[in-house]
Amino acid sequence: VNWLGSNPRSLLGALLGAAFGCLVTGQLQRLGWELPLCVGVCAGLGCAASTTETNGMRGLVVGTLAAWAGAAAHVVYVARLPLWPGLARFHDDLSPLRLLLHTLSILLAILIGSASLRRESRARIVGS
Amino acid sequence: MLGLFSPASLLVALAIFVVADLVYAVDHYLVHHDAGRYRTTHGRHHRRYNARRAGEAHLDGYELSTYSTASFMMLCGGSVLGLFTGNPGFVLGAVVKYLHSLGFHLYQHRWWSDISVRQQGLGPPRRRWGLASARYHAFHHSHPNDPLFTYAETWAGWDRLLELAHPHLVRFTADARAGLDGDRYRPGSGGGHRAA
Repeated sequence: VNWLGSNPRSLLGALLGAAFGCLVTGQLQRLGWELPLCVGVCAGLGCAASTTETNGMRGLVVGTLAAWAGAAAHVVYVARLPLWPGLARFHDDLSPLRLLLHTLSILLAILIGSASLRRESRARIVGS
Repeated sequence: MLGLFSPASLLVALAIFVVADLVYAVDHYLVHHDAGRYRTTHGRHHRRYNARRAGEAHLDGYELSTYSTASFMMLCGGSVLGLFTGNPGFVLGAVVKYLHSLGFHLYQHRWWSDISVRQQGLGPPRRRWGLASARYHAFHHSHPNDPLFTYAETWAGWDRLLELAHPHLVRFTADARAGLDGDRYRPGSGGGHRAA
C-alpha cells in the first residue's frame, strides 16, 4: 500500500510550486508584506495542476512541504539567518499572528494539494 | 530547539508512539470492515501467512512499502509539530514507531514456517489490557475475523476499547455504508475463527 497517495510527478509539481511560492514570499517581503500563505497556495496549485487524481493523503504530504518551505522562506527573507540554524530556531519567531498565517498556509496546501485542476480527475483509492 | 533526549522530548516521543499505535489499531479495525479495501490490500497479508512459508521473505517489498509510507505520513505530521514547537520528540516518536513496527513484524512472524500459522493452531490469547505481545498479535493472522480483537501492536487495551466501541463504531464502517454485514464479527454470526 502506498500511503503517500501520490506519484513523483505530483510531488515534483508541489516542490516547484513551493519553490515559486518562496520566491513570491521573498518579493512581497521586500514590499513589507509578510504572507507565507503564498507558499501553501503555490505548492497546492503546483500539485493539483500536475495530477489527474484527487487524494487526501497526498494533501497531507503537500501540507508538510508547505510548512517546511514556508519556514525556510521565513528564515531566509524575514529572519535573515543561515537556513539550518534558522529552521532550528523557527519556533522562537512564531508570534500568534505568524503562527496563524503559517497554519493557514498549511491548511490551504492540504486542501488544494488534495484536489486536481484537471477536468477528468478521479479519486485515488488507497491500495489501488 | 530542545535536546533529542531531554525529558520533554522523550515524553512527547512516547505520546506520539502511543497515538500512532492507536491510529494503526483503528485503521486495522477499519480495513477489516471494508470488504473492498480488505480484498485489494490487507487480505494479502492474511493469505500469505496462512500458507506454507516455502522460502518466502518474512518482510517482502509490499509490506516494507506499507510500513514505510505509513511511517512517512506519521513523520510528516511529527516534523511539522517539531518545527513549530522546537521539540524533536515528535520526530523521534515517529521514527521509533517505525522501527517498532518492523521489529514487531519480524518477531511475530517467527511462527510462520513450512507449517502455516493457521495449521499451528495458536489458541486465543487472554482478553487482556496489558502490552500486546507478538504471540497475541500472531493469533490475528490465523483468525483475522475473530470476535476477540487482536489488532494492536503495543497496548492490547486499544483492542478492548475497540471491542467496547464496536457496536456503535461498526455502523460507520465502509461495509455498513455499502449495506454489507458490517457486524459479521458479532459472536454467533459465523464470523468467529473464520478463515481469511
